[in-house]
Amino acid sequence: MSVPSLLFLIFALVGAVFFNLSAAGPWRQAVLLVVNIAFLASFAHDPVAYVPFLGFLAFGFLAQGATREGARPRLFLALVVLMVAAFVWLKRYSFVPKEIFLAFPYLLIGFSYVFFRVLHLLIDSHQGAIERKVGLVSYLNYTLNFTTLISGPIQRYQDFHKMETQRLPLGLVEIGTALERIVIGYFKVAVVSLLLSMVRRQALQHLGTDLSIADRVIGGALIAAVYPVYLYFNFSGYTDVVIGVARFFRIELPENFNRPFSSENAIIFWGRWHMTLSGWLRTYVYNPLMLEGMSRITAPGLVRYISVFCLFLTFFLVGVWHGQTTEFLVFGLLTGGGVATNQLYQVTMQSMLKPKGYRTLAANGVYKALARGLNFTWFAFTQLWFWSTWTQIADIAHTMGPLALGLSALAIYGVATLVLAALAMSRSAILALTWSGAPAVRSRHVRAAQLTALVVITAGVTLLLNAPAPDIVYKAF
Amino acid sequence: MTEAPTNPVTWRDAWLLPLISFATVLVMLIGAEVAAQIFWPEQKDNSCAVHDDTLLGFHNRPHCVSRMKAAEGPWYTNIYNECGYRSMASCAPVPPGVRRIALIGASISGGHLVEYEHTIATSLGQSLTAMCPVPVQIQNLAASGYTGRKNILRMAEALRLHPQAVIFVQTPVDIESQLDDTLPPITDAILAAPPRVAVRPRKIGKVGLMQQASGIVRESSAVVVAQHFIFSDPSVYIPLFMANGDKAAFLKPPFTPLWQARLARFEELIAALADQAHRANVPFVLVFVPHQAEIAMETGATRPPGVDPLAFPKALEAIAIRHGAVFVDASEILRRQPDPASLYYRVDGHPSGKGQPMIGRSLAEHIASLRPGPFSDCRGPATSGPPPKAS
Repeated sequence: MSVPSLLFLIFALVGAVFFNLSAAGPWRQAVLLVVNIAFLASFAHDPVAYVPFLGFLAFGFLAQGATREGARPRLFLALVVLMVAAFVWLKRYSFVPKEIFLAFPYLLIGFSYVFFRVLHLLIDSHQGAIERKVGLVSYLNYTLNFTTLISGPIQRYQDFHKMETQRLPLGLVEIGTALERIVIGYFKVAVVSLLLSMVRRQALQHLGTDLSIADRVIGGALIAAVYPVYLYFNFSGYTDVVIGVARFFRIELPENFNRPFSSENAIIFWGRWHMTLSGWLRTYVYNPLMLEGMSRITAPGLVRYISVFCLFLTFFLVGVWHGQTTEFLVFGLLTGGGVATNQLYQVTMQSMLKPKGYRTLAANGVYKALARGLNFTWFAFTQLWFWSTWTQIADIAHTMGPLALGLSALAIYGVATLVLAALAMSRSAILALTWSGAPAVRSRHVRAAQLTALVVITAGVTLLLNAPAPDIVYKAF
Repeated sequence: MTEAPTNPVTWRDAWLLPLISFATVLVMLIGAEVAAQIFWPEQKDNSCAVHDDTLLGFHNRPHCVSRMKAAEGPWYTNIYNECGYRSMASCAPVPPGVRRIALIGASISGGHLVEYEHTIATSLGQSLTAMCPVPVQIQNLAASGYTGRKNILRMAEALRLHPQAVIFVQTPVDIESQLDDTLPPITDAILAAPPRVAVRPRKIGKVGLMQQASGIVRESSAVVVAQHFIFSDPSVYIPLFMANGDKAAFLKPPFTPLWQARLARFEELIAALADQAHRANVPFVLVFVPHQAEIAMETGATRPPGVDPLAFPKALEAIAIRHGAVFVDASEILRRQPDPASLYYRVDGHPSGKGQPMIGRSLAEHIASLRPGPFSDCRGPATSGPPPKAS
């Protein structure tokens, strides 16, 4: 079942109706479990395909139970290593010998997110951050939650469990807000990202060596710059839909995006893009590394550079986690390299200008606009290794030629700087329009009009995309 | 992200919010339609058409001028000569030293929705004139809706003009309409003197609400504009065209029984037309113009399984050969273009002012390369591409 789709929404609606029929905790846990299993079952018909997935879940459940609250520290470490190894093996990373892979096809849908949830449970449970023993139904509902199974967001078990015990209200306002979130998400996925992907596909199709240099620069810039925007609308739209749907099951999912392209540097950007992933890695990779580094390196000149190394490693893992091929290895190196360079730049500038001087520079409007443009351009560049293969990259580089490539990068930087600055100014201007002391755009009435408009556009596009294309049109005989 | 409003829902909201939503829908729908009609105007009714013929349905008035426009294309002018043909040249007996070709068929041969200079007929005439030692004049007897056996009547009229060749342009859509043909048997008496009687407009029966709604949507300019942009992506357009079911089945061999029946009926038509032409000792050329979906499949978009764009023209070629007609497949030239999808109006489906001249030039090269033939003293193809295919 694809998310978001009409079928998914109907499925979720039916589930939510049953879920809310009774306020009893066991009823709701049972309904959610049935919904989660039914959702998972929609991805494969062969029961054997589920065996590795369920085996991993069983391993996680037993492991966290066996090492609770500091018990068996050596076993805990071994289990963490084993869990990471099992993940790498089942995900078939390209550096693992093929001979040891399972020979039969099996289900891996949302497996990376399940891995994050299970590993978090194992670590937090061992560290005593989870007060009560995790029950099997609660564990399955948490790890297999159908709203977060495919692409997150990655929720902490503590937050999920709190909602199992403390019922969140579901009144008219909450329902309206959840529906609003679903409509916005569906619009982002079904309309905006669709149009952006069409623009990009066409730019890719039209790119050729017989084009003039100006056309190649425009085409190359479109191909590289549209993808991050498409990805944002697609992924954040998906997140909006699942956040809205989860609310009907009285679950409040964490946010995953917070206007990422308004970030002035890569560090801020990763705090606003796929926030639950970067938050997870900050908690379980960056923070332990920093603590370890600071305990081992005491030389005053070196301490400030520990964070540069730790950031590189953390965001290298962000990149590598996204895929199993060497392209993702480069994506990881560029992502980690970008964040680390950004940190190094900040450390250097602070020592050159002193913290106050650097703060003044960073608050300058023109500097901020240029920094936003640069951050976007860098992200768009790193994404080349995210969406394409080595062959495609080589083809594009060959077709474009070095001059057009360089000019494309400059074009992206210039346009991104201007567009992002214009968006920031427009947003401030719109929010400055107030009504009854609050921004007019946030009023219930303006939002009703906005939502209706989104529904009309989404419905129109969905209908057009599902109606057969007309034949030759004869209107006047 | 948006935040939940903290103030409670009031009774006023209970009627005001739905009212706002309703007003928004109205403003959007009306606004989109008005804007589309202003910026993408359309005029597809031909004011020169006179509904005075029980068999053909209509004729274009002699010496008439009309203006038409596809939503996706520019305004253009139809100028009809003294016979009501879309030709600048007179239909009077051909002057000495001039050769004449008659064009029959439906909308595409008629140059529907494109300016005269960009029609197949004009580029065919200009190209042949440039290649041959004497000027070549085209009399265009084609018009939108002249499908099926109506062309037997047009062939008779074309032959009365004493042309050196008759060219019949067909598309899959024209062939699809073969089974809709309700004309009575066309006798020699009818061919000699076709009856011209005023046709009463057909009474439209009661139309259901759903049909009315679907008609409004189909005719909506806003929908045309939206489709124009959506269809610009072949990977979106091709699956949507294939969703037409039987209409699109001509792309998937083996042909369905319905398409086999259409092809059988088409063969009867070609046999009749070829017979007329052969009796007058005039070469008969059948030109196949592909559907835009076939050409869109050449743009790198994934071809749906089972699709073979070459199967249909091959079937037509076999029919042409069986009846001694020359066959020209225009898809060969269209397929070779760098952006073949741009050669058609995306929603309307007719070849655009970019596609039609290309077909005309390609056709001229084929005709000039025919040996022996009335144009055998003309230079061969001017381009260095692969040799033209003519059978």
